[in-house]
Amino acid sequence: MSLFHLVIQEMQHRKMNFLLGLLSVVVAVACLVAALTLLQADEIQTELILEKKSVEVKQAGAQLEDAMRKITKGLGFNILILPADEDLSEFHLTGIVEKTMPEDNVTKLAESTIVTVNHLLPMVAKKVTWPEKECEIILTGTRGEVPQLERALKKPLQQLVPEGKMVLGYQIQKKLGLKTGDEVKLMGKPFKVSQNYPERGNSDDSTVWINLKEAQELLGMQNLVNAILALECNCATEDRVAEIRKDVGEILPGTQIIERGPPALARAEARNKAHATAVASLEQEKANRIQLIERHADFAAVLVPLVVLGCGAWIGFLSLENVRRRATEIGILRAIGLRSSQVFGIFIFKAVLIGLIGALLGYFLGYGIGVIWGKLPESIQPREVLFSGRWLLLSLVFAPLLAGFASWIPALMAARQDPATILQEG
Amino acid sequence: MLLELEQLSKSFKSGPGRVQAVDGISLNVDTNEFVAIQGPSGCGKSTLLLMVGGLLSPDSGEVRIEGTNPYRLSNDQRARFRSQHLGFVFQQFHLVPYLNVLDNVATPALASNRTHARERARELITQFGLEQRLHHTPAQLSTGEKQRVALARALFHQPKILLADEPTGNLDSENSEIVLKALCQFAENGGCVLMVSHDDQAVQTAQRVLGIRDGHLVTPDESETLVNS
Repeated sequence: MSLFHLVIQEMQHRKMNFLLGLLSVVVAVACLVAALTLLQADEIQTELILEKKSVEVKQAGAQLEDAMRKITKGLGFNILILPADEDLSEFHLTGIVEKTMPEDNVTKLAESTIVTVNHLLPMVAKKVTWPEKECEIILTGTRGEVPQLERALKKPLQQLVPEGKMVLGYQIQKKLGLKTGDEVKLMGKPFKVSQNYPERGNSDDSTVWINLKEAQELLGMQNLVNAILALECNCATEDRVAEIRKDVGEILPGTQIIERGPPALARAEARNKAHATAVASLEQEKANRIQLIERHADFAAVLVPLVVLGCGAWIGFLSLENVRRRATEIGILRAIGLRSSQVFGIFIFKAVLIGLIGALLGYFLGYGIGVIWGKLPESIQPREVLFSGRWLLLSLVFAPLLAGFASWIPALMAARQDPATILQEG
Repeated sequence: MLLELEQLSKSFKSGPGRVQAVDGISLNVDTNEFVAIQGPSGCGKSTLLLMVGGLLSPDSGEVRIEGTNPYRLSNDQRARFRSQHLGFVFQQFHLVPYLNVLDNVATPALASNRTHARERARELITQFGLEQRLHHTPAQLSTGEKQRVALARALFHQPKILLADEPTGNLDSENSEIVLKALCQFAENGGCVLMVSHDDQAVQTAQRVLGIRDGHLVTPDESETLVNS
């Protein structure tokens, strides 16, 4: 005969009390474990989603990059029409066109039926010293777009710099501390700064743009231009520069044509944009998932303690009821010599036993709920990622403690019952 | 002297005043004695028995069992003392409802960690003719069988003193006879029995009969008067 045997027999006898107590522990543990498992499943899902999204984004980025490359290719490219005697080696070294050609060439081109060039921009450009500021600049005069007779009028790609206005490259404005709206003099002529360009990392940063006519006057180049810029040119053939050279050569014999702006730059920009879009999308998804997990964690932080408290109170009530029903039994056990600590032990031992059984059942119930509601993909074995020996151990410690604490006061009451009173009443 | 009671008194609060349940009772009981105390319900019989049994502390006076006053022991020591020296039999049997006969008889082993508890329990069960009921629960037993189980349980530790509170109160004459015979046997075998009862037939089995009136022990003559009244 042992206390264990006594407790087991009593649990078998008062099945309802035992089952209700067990149910409480199972609910409390299952709730705790389900919450932990679901949060774990959330994190795993997040990792999977982000991983998948990352691959998708990479693919989408590649597609976008390719699409942008095609689009930029489809949109056309820029060419520069230069005087026949311009030394191209010198031009590539300095970025300045030394030779000139008649401004009339632009008119000829605009009035022709050529279809491979678009948006004609005549310009003069010369490296000069800005006498008032004592700094070297590339003074560029630009007239804006020349309308082509054979085409419908489009919105110009590059706006005309109005007379009396000035546009500054990044290094110039930075060096001279000039802002939009400032009034300055250039070679004795007054100008108002109308725009400051951001840094481009090329000779544009040291350039000052003014109206073509004013630039021609200041540089003594009336009716002359250094180059004609043609933007968004289109070709049907692969060797697009050769095709344009042929077309332009028929109208302006002796001119030279080079492609302006490396295509690699456009592709790099496209790639960067696609990458930035992908990263932003990935970050957004990550933020959404973190928000979702936080919401779940907040919910669990409220629900689990409430359930545990409720279950604890219910176990306490059941223990109290058990003590009340067993008053005579306690009296006779005390009469035959059981110490009050042994009586206390009977009730605590029963609670701990219920806690242990409830912990096992509750853990697997909670784990099952976590697996079902966690909705992990079939490729993942829940046992490998969600089953946690640590949580099982935690349950096996937590549940007996919960049941033991909840039964503490009823067990003390049982231990302190006066056997004489009980036996006199019995 | 096995049992000595000296000027035992106990009162209980009852409404605005107090009821003197036991008032200055002195009694000596030695081995091989079977003493019956007779009196009507509520006269203080059970209170006296609980005080002797170390379960109810007297307001004044002393209880000595083999020279030891159990109320001078700590709670745990008194519990151990009880299990070693005393056996209890109650009118309501007070068997543990979910334990079978074998386990009920062996229940005192919980207090003493006695080895071979089941063997001892089987021995007693056989002695009381209950070997066919070994695995029956109290609900499956007759009242006589229940009291025999209670008696077997009381004798488990071979106590020196058996305290019986109306042991035949719920029994028919046949079972009463079995129980009373067992009590006599216990006394003859070196123990002592202190039985409280209002049953005339039961008290006649005892070697010494005392009455209790207004918390006082009275002489046998007085007791007879009391019984007749």
